[in-house]
Amino acid sequence: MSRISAAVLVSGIIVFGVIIAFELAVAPRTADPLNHAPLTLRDTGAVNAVSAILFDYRALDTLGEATVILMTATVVAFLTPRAKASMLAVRLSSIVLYGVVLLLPFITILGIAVMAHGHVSPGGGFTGGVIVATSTVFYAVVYSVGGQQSYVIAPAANKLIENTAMTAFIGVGLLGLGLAGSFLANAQTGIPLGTPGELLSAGTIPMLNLISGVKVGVGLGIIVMSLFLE
Amino acid sequence: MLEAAVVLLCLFLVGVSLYTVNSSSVFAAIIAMGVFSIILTVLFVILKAPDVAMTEAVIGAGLTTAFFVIALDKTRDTDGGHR
Repeated sequence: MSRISAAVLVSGIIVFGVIIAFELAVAPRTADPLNHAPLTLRDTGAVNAVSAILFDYRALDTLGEATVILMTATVVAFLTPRAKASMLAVRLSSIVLYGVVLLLPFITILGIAVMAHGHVSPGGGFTGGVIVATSTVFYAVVYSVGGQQSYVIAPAANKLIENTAMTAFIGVGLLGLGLAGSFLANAQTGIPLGTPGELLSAGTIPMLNLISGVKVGVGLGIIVMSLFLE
Repeated sequence: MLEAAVVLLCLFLVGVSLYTVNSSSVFAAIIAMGVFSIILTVLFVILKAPDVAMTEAVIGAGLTTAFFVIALDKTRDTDGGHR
């Protein structure tokens, strides 16, 4: 092991030891971090406080994130040369091939389920979207890149879906603006918050969850496909 | 008991990252980064942050490793034996 990493290791362990010693000996026990959940439940009706923050209190930031993904996908898709670049031969043994083929539907369903239950269980729009994007990777690896059959959704439709999802996100925001006078408003718009824990509860949060999930899934799908073809 | 698990996992993290830095083959380093993400996911679950754990698992172990493997696969074997 080179001298530098030895030094890094030793200094790391010393710093780490000091922190742990301080933590165990001196630092007071802070209150349980999850005690603010009832507040978000009252405001937004979402059981999952993280989703409440992501899609209600700080929905504008999530809109910004969605724009970043849209921009990245556009730039990467733009840089992909039209000529089909060669992907080094990917020889999959039949076990892997059929394993992945059997796995595909379950991954997509898992992604959709995680997206749909964003306001109730952990995970949510983004995580579900990334799971769906992972199935695009599987699809491309199994069905050899570039062939017309290797796309879960044709690239043109991919881009269309992503753009409509983006406008839908802004649409929900404008809906909030129209009904309640503030962009991306949720509870104030009078949309029923429903009984917490049910699928159709927490106003616009499930809508935003699904929209951003579709957007992330398709956007990352474009990025992955461009990376394959590049 | 839980603190012991957290301390143990953190030391394991340091070990895996040092292995990633010092490993000779690039492919092994990529897989080690995937392992790093998995351990991080377990740590997040212990620290009662399920959302972050799921995101880290899906992106860290899933997509990032896939991207790196694709990128590695596309680089020509020019500097001799980088695999």
